[in-house]
Amino acid sequence: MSNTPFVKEMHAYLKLKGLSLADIDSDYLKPALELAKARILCSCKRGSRYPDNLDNVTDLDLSLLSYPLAIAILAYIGNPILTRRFAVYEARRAGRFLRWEPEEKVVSIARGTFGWDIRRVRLTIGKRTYTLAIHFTDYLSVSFPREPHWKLVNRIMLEGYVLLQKHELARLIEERVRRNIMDKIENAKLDAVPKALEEASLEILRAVRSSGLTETFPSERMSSYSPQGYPPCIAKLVEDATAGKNLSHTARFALATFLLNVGMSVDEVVDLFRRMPDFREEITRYQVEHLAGLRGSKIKYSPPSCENMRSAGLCPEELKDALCNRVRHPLMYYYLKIKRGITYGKEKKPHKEDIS
Amino acid sequence: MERRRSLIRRIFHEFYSERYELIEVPSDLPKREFGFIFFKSPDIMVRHKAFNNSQELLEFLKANVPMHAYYSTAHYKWPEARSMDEKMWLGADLVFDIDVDHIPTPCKTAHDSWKCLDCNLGGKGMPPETCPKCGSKRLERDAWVCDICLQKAKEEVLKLVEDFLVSDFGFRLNEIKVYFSGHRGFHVHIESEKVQHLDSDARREIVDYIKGIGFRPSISLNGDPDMSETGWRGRMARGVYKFIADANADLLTELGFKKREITFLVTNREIILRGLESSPPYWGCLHKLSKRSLNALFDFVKRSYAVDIDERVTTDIKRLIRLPGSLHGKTGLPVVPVGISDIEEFDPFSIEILNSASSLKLKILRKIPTLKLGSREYSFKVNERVKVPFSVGLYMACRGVAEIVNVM
Repeated sequence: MSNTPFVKEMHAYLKLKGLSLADIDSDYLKPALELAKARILCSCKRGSRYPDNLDNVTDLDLSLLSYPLAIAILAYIGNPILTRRFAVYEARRAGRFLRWEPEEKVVSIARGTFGWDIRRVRLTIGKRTYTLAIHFTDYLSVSFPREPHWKLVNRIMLEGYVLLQKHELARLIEERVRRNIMDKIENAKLDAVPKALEEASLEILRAVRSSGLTETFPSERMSSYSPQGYPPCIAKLVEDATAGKNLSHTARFALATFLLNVGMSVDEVVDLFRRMPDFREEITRYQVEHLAGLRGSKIKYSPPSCENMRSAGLCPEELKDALCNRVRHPLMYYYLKIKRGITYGKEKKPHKEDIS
Repeated sequence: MERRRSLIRRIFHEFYSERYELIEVPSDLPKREFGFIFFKSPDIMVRHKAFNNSQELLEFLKANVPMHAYYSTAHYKWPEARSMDEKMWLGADLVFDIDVDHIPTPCKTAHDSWKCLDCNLGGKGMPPETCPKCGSKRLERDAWVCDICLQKAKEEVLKLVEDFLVSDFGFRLNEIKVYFSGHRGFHVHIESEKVQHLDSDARREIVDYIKGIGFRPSISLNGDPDMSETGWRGRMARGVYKFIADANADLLTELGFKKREITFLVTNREIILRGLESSPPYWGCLHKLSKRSLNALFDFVKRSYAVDIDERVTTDIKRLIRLPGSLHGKTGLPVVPVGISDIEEFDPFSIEILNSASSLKLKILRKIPTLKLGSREYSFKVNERVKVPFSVGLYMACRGVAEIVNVM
């Protein structure tokens, strides 16, 4: 339970103890507050993924109590980057534990905590053996950054149930947990903030600031590449990356290849990814250099076409403009817009029927 | 013009007074938003209407006689609120729209035409994306209902319901309601509790599944699929088998196959087919084809199974859709439920619109293409006066190509 603090039983447990935020100064909760701080700091430390010192906390109470405290601190700080990092970090931690748990436990969490409709099956199709099936509505309720193999069209569905392997269910739970944590932090209501919580928040902010994490993105650097020419899909990815949102593999690929193709340097592209929750400079640099054609096959990669962007769920339909309808490739959009000047984008949007 | 419109309105009025039993009151009525277009201002939609009970709705229809009537697929806490935020979305039915407008049929060149509003260039059949002469997008379309077009729409509905909604998505037939749209297609509604909370992204995934968008053979067809499998794997296996069995040089060349590959397929046809039908199946022979040709093959097969649904309708969780039992103002045809088992025989022109009249006398005002409506073919001359079945006459009058002379 302590490694999966999001489960329903935990909330009951805390209630049973009759604890509230106001007790934060008590000696009983102090160690938990320390642990909460450690959890947050770990989550935003670059490259640190699953620090052992947290896993070794054996005191169940302490571990459980630190979770809501961390949420309270982050809600108080209200920094979206820290929030996102914490959510990704905690979700991954939970996911990692789930992968080692027996299947019954994973299933019971999916059913009990999230109310998912899960069936146990035993089917071998193609080369894979599936032991689980989830109703497609529950499958789709976890809005994944959909990689091709998570797209419904590439899944095997039998009478409304999507076949899964255990590790895939764990991954779905992980994503659900991430979103739940985000929701909790974003919607947390803090009425009276105890002094200890305020101090803890300041302490975290100081530590984070010295690491350079909350520095704002140097936007002036971008100007030479005419960001005004970016199609809506790329503009959105830049915005998300700048805000430190966790981008899917395809999204990162699209963003990096696009920017390299319009003339951004490897350094600048790497900088843009600095805010990713799992950023590791050497790895990112290696990958970006690869995409730029400086390594390996020496082929410079192009970003995906509009159709592929759409399938990958990266084409923001609601942001599309008139020029979008005329091109089939994000780079074409960029070249046309730069050539014709940026006023083109102001053209009236095509009439959208809202009835049928 | 005014007189013509008022005569049509009178028929609509009589319809809503006599045939109100056709109106199918949406479930959860008080939580639905309604929208109407009236005869006096055909360009304005009056939205944000709501009704507490079916009596109110029927009285409204009778008193106001809308040219078009719509209701929201969504349920709202406050359906009458003016803005979407204030309405408070609670959920939405899952809806599919199949419209032959988007599907090329061979008869379209016979009865459909288009005209560019900027340069007056015109042509037969489906309109191009943009005007080939001036590049304008303002193309006016003259589209007609015809039996062959409807037949195509019916096939798509059957494919959608039987192959996808029942077999893959596991819906029961009694959860699926099919309605004739009043024009050139069908609407499929699913109101089950389970689908209500799907967001727009989730619905897009459903659309992509049904249209085969984002299908990756390298993922889905991993481990050679068997023809008896369900879902896309089974469909692809059966489709590839059929493709190889029927393949001829012309089609293969059209798909971009190289000469060498065509010879390979034709000479080894039997061996390849035997591999596909053996258990476990063996697809190894196909890997002799280049990646490009193999993808062209998969894409061709995929397209033959995918259903052409209008993705905008399904992904829009705040959409208004035609009220079952209402009349379509541009055709005079009623939006009616159609049973899946009866769909093949369905003929929108056979539905009685008024109890009191069975035919109309028309004066033809403009040129009308020869059309097959229901079981009969119609061909009119300009200025001719003809007696036609009521629904055919009302259709012509609503299209503005004929004037009603007499109700009989």
